[in-house]
Amino acid sequence: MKPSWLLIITSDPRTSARPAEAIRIAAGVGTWKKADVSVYLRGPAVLALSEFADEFIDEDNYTRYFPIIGEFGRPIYVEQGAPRLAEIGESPMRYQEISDVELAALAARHNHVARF
Amino acid sequence: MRQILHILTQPNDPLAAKIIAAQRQEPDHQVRVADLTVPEADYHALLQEIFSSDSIEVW
Repeated sequence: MKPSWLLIITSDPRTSARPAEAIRIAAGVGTWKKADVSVYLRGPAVLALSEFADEFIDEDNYTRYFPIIGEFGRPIYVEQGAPRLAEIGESPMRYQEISDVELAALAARHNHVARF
Repeated sequence: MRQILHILTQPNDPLAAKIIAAQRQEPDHQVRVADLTVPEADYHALLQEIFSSDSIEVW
């Protein structure tokens, strides 16, 4: 069974380079298919799903690496009811809202969980 | 029984606390917490925990 890794991203992509770096790492690790990589966005990090990444730090990472993550065969998980979801417009990414209890179960199923 | 280890690197992390509490409700989860934010953190014990855990969650 392949190892699995969940990246929890909570930083604001407009003010922090951490979300962009997390997405780059997730794409880089997952693309080899030797580990199952999942991404969860919470709070202001849900803005990373926006149609336009112009205002984000290291914006190229979003256009270059997010599509790779989209090919992993699972949605981007996001905080259910996150207020910022109303601001993302037509997201190019497939995403799924999950509750905190579902996040706890998701984390428990993964071998490694890291927060960015 | 799934062995879950949480490693806390920041004090008073509300998201980590919420996840730990939810996982502890599951009867087939054994949840342990290594709090590295306190001066008496036991790194030797942490190493043993890492090798015996199914899921390692770093906050």
